[in-house]
Amino acid sequence: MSDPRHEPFDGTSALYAIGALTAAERVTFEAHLEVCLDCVREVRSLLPVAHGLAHTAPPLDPTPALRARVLEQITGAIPAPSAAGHTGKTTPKTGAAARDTDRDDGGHTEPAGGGPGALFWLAASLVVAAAGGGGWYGAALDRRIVDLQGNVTQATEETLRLRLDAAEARAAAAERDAVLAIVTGASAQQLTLVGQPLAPRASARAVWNDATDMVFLASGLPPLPAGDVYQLWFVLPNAPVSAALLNPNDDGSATVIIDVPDTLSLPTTMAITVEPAGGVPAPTGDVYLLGQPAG
Amino acid sequence: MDLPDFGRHASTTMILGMLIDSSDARWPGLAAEARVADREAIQRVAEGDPDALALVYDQHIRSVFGLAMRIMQDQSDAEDVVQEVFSQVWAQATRYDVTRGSVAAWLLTMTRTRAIDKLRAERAKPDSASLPGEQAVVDVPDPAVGAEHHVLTAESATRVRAALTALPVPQRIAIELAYFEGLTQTQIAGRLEEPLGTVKTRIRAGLLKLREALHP
Ligand SMILES: [Zn+2]
Repeated sequence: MSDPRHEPFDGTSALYAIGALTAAERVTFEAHLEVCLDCVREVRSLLPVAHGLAHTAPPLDPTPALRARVLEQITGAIPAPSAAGHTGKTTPKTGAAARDTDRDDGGHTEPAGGGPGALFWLAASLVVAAAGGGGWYGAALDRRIVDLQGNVTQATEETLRLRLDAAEARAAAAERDAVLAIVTGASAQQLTLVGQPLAPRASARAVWNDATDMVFLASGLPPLPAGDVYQLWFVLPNAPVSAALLNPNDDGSATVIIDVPDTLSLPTTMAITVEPAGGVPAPTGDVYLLGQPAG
Repeated sequence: MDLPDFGRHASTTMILGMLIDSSDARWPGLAAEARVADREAIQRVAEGDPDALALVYDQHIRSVFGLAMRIMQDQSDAEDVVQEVFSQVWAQATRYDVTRGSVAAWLLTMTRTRAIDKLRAERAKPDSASLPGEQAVVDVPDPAVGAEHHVLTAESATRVRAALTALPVPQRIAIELAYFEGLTQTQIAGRLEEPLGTVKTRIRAGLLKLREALHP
């Protein structure tokens, strides 16, 4: 593993998979996972192993009393053991805790997600349990409900994030397609920009077609202090026109698609300067890259 | 909506999503028909059918209770964990996603989480006289797997247990302290009086050996 960024995390995948990191350590490692495919692969391969440890606990039979207590507290009914074959038999309980167990005569069931949800029913059964003497279960009421609400929120967020992932992927694909269409188009022309003394290793290329779509690709851009931004300019004879702001990736590369104003005739000289965040209407900072049309 | 931060969050979620997806898909031993029956039962639980909850209970209670006992080392605490796990099943069955893994894995994950939470809460109490940690490598006697209730096939459950038992003792201890006691690397290092690096190396080496034993 030659990547120096990986070194402090060597072996951490195993700790992550088995859950032996503190919350802070976990957050740091998850940030590393985004840039280290080796670690992602190792976690992926170790996670099922860690989960499998659950199966190393020897199965045990609890007392039959536990079954009755658990099922009655939760559902208000004690169905017959299913080992004796599935029977529709239940022992309905009176009170708010009882759910509709009367299924044999075609009684309704709570539709999933409609009407009072499972959370409500659980809360109701807990309240009844507490009122009836409670014991440990009543005491655990508050914490449990908070837990469940936390889980509900989490699920919603998760769903949202999954949608965002999909949207992001689609957006990325669309952008790739657009870049490809411009760069490989029959009418494509290009201008090369060269790094100036402030950014000697930087280079960039602008590629455009006659439909006034331009792709601008830069690499080797030095990191900027917070509060500064790279700004790209069409340098016209009378006054420079801002083309775009560039947000380089960690590796100093940046890609941007520019809608060239059709009052502007290409090629023109192009330049990148460093400006205050948000950009400026006319360049004020040092020139980092410069490209001039041949002839 | 907070757009600027999306990229980072989304990609972390994506990575974690992939991890979760893979977490029990490859775990050996679950009979296909048991999985189908489980899913149907969970669906009925989601509809509020007490019989279905009883079905899930009867099918999985031995492994849930076994794991709860393994972690809590106390019958009454383990029973509390069981109660919480099945309350959670009842409350959250509507949101259980069958594509995300087996019901057994879902139950065992909840069991471990609940039990570890309890242990950690107990440890946080200032007057906790005895740390439960020293029993880490003491095994609860291993009764035979009941034929009518098996979830994991006897063969693969045995294979996992055998692989863990076959590990060098220091690796096994480190793994058990992490998994069954919920200790962090720093706590394990403190408990064993070993450097952090050693703990990390042992856990990794042990998990790699288990992986090899399970997916040869
Ligand atoms: Zn790494």
